[in-house]
Amino acid sequence: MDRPEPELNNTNPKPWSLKPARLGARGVLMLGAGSVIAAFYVGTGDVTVGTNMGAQFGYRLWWTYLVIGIAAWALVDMSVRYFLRFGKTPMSLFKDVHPVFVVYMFLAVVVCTTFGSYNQWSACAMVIAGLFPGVPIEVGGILAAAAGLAFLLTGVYKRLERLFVVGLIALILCFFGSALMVGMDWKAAAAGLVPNAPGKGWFPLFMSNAGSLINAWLILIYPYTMIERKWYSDRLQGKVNILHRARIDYTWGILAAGVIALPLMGAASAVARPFGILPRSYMDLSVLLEPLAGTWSTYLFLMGLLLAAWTSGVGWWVCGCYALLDIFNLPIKMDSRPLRIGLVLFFVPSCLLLLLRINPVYQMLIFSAFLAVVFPVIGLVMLWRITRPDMGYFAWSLRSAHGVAIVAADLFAVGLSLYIGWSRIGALFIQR
Amino acid sequence: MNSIRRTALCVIVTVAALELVAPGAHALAERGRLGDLAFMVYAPDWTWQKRNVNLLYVLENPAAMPAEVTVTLEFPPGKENHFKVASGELHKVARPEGERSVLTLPVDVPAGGTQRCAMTDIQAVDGVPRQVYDFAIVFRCGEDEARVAYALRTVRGAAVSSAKSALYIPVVVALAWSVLFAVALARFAARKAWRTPNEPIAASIDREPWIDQNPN
Repeated sequence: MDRPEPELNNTNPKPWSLKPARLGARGVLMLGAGSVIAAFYVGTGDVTVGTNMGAQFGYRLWWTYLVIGIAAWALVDMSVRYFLRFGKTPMSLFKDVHPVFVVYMFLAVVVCTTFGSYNQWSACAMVIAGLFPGVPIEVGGILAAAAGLAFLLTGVYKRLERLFVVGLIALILCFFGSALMVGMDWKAAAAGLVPNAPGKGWFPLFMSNAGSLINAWLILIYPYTMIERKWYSDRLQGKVNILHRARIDYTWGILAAGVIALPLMGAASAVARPFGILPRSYMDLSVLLEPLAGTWSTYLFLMGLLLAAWTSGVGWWVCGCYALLDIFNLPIKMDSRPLRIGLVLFFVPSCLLLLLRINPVYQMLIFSAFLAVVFPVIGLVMLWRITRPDMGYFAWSLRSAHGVAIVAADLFAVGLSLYIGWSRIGALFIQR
Repeated sequence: MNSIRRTALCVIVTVAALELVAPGAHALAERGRLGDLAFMVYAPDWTWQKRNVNLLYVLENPAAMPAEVTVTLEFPPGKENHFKVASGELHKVARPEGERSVLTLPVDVPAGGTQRCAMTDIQAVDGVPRQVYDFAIVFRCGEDEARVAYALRTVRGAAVSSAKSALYIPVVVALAWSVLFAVALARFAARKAWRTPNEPIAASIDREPWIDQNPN
């Protein structure tokens, strides 16, 4: 049974009627979990998609980050509202509906985490190979994965947050530094925020971007970070305050993906597009940068890519392990034995897959498509759950502007998920 | 604001450290002159088999007259079959050391302008021994000729290359692995925990003070 909401029964405030307490500048600037979220969003998928968009269409598809970002934000928000309302973890949402969804989620978590993290270690290995061609891919990838494993096995959640804040800012600086050396067209970038269809081939990129940004159960990760940070209250005002602060946090996380896409598009637009080259790997852009922007531009790009891939690889593992602990109703804690066992279990297949040396661009585009097929199911389940009458203060309501905005964002997010999922299923299974 | 200062310091130190430890990215980057023209050629000096190589050329013409330049990529004798070229046709030319296969790119460089061009999608095929290939890149403009030696090393490429294999093999590996996860984690869990919603978590006593603040 769901826990009753005592304050609601006593004072019965209308949904979405309470104001959150004001956060000081310090509170707003503490964006630790937001950076953890950003690390999930900004990985090789983002780099690949951003680079391809820039090489084909310049800045003209920047608007897709805004549109897809709104949907991603709404999906994260749904899982947070469910958590705050009931104090239950995201997987309970699926258990509430039917156990078959738990099996589905379990398989999706293992497959996506193995796949996703392998991609990131592979990208790290490529950067290492770009700098030291004598180092085989397998060795570079295993070194990167081993560093991630050592960090997580010896760490606690707070340390992860700190590292990710520094890592995220450093990679933003690296990518922007690299792009500024080659020259950014700010006017074209601003024009790219206006939705447009720039020509043949833009829609598959839009789909891949959706798969990269709204990636499967990663939209459920935020409540786990809230548990680690003890962001939960029995009081309704406390819940309202937490939701307010959390929204700032994941807005930053999702925004970061769009911000990082800008220099990638800029660099690809300046160096690949004039030559008619479509980058086939992350390394293609790095070698294209040097003749036009100098050696330092290449260094910065490679360092940004390494940071993005490594933090994202670590993020995939953490998120995958949290979700698995949640499925088995185990405590959500980074320094716990089950989580450490999960990390080691993810380490082994990630390293085995490195032996295949799969072309990462094919893989990222296909993986994004795969994720796009997975997340509509999650969207539908969440929509079903958060529209139940027992959502109390966090229920859907059209009596206030805030409530209307929530309903619109939820519908938009799930509608977009379904549309993209349907298109992807068609592309994968029907048209062939 | 100490923590913000600390974070800023960490960022600066991180970026500086990254830049200091980064060695040079390996590639061919050569500048030269062809009469009045300046040229720059840029290409990777190693590649995975089954992956494309792109060669970039930048030509600058400071003269008052436009220039017609021919850029030629000469393949190592007898090894042209080790590459697939999607961006043009190979043809044979006679050289003092014997017949060579070449890929040619004509470029018009405007007066006082810069022209960028590329030979793209030159793929090192697999199924041949990995080695260093001795290419030559030749720039010609009228009577002037400049030659750049270009060595390209191949390393082992993907074990699977088709898009379908790239998707299905990792999925099969991960699905097989999920059995291990189920066994390992179920040992720590209560019976039927996987299908039972968790108990609501309790609010922590030592939660941060801002959580319980009331709006002013």
